[in-house]
Amino acid sequence: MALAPGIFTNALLYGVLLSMMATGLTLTYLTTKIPNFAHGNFVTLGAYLGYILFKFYNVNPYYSIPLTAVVCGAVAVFVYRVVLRPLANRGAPTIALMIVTLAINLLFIGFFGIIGDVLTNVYRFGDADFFLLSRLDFSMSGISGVMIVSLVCLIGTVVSIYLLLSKTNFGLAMTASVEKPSLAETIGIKVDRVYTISWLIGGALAGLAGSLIVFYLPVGPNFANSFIISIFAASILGGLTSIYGAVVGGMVIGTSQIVVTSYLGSILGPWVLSYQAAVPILIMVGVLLFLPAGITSISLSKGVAKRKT
Amino acid sequence: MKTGVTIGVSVIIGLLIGAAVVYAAFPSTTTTSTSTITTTVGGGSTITTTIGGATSTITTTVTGAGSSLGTVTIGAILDLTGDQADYGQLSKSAVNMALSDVNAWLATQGSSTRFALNIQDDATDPATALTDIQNMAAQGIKIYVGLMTTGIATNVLSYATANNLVLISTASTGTSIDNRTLGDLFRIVPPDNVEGVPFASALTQAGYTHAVLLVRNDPFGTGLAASFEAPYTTDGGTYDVVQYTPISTGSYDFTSQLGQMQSDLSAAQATYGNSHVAILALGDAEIGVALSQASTFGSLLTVPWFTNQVSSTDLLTTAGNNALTVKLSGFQPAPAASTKYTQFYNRFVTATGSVPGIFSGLAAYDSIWLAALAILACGSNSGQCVQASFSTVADNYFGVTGWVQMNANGDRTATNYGDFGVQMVNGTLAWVPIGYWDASTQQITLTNSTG
Repeated sequence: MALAPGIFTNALLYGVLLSMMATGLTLTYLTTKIPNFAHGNFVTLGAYLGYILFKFYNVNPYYSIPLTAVVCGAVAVFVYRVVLRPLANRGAPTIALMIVTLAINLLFIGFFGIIGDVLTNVYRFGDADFFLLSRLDFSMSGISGVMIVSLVCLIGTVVSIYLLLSKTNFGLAMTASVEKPSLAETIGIKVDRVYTISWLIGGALAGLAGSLIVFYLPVGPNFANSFIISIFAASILGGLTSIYGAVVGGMVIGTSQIVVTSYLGSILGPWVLSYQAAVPILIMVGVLLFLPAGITSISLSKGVAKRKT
Repeated sequence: MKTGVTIGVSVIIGLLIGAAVVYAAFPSTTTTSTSTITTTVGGGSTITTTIGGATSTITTTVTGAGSSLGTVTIGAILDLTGDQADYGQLSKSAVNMALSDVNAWLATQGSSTRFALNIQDDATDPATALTDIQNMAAQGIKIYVGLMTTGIATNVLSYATANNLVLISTASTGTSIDNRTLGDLFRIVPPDNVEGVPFASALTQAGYTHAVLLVRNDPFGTGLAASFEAPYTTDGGTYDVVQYTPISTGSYDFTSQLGQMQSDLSAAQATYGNSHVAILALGDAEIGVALSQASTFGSLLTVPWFTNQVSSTDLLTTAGNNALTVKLSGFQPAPAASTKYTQFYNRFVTATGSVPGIFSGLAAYDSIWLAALAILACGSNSGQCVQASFSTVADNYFGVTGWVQMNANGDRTATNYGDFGVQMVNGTLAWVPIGYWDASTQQITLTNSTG
């Protein structure tokens, strides 16, 4: 049964936004090997910053993108430098750092709850706990502004990361820091600075996604919990150590989550639509079972696809 | 590979265990006559209000012991946070106003009895509400107001029954407990088994022979849908239903549902004609998100939308101009026209900056008066006595919501429903009364069209 064109439009948009979020997560894991379960909160922070600037200063969230990206990047650096790095330096295992990020996630949710309550009770913003700013969006030739801007941002992100990694000394330093951190240190690369900048970029990308997502989905204090599974599924699908894989993973997870559910709904009945959230989980389970290194581990050699080992 | 298999199998087992755990655990009667209602408590105290146009006198006497009860605390369990926080916060303002009015009235009558409130936030969560009531019951509180969802009311009812507590719900309307035996729960807002009927009347009378329903998949939404489907089908209407699951984080993406609705709409329009199909969205404030996201599915904005979320300003903020485009309208229990209502309305707007609705202030205000009057009538804070006398007290009470008449199950009887539409007022989208549904004739009368 043919699906409505709007389904593919929204699926593409969701995939683009998820790709940006997953890229940031993969970047921080690639460098510091910390699975950051608080990553979704940088998205929420970006969304709330855009909302606050709009409510207080009537700034369209599109114009606040640069500021929110910088602030979210700075907050991510703060989390890394103040909390995670000291623990890592003391020899905390990865699982402990992961649990710490879970705690940071809860702290952020509480923080956003306080912000929402203040905005609701003091400033009388009735939608502070549940805001959607799609009414501020524009359209060109029937295409929503958020779709256009998101695609441009994603393409710009991919190009920028490619140039950064392949054409700059920093890129070389990052590659060395990822592959052999101790050796990189001995040849004078400031590995910790590389890690810090990766968290800055990761947080900025999440903030960027947050600035854009307010035009598509409602945001509240618990928003991060809505997405963290999908973000991880996208990163895992793409291969947790591949930035470009995260882009691909985000597109696959994002589009399939909507398209697959809609298609099944058209065949089996609307009751299936309530189980949309199961799609990224099932994909993640499948990847972990059959392709744990992600889709970027697949290499084509002599016409036969095989996994890289 | 082995590590991947181990991790994958562990995740599957974890998901199955989690799923198993989760599975086991989830009319206004618009009068046209002037009447004076006199309520007498403990020997001569009176409250007088005037309603309507012609003159008649109704005297109601609630006798009490007359002696001081000291300070009696009423518990208020409200949704101050969570999904219904906007209703809960306004209800909090209303119960505080009512408390002040009751105590002021007692003071003018020379009574030394006073009432106090213990307000607790249940975060729109049934488990939290149960904890709240248990804590307050330990302090000797017997009478509770609020309990603003059917899930919350249901979850605390058995505890209340076991401990002789009285629950006065100000916003529970779910049909799952319609047929309960009269006990400790009284719902002073009309239940959903009535609320769907005005929608059926509206669609039928406007010529919409087919409806595409967007329904929140919980007892509230499905009960409301059922109350619409039966009379609508009886009137010859047909419908499609698309459900969505409530999400605690509130981050709704209705893409799949809207796509299905667009398909259903196209098929219905091909069968019944473009002008004979409408959309009925039954849920909470997230309906505004669906309406906003419907922009991607253009044909959905070419038909009228109806919704139960009348008076939700959050919905209008989220939906934006789409609410105007689809001529969004809906029904809500309508307070009887009276000076009491008008006076309360003006005070409430001045105090809160918000308009009171049946679930966002009006019923909460009446609940405090009803609780106080029942306690005074009993001459004690006895839950058993209040439970036995509440229906009689309510039947003789004219509040800001009109006559509060209860049926045999402890639910409010059917009242008229106000028909509300969306219009631009002073540059802001607002709900505006456009008519009413008469419970006795089941007819819609429009007084102000949205165009």
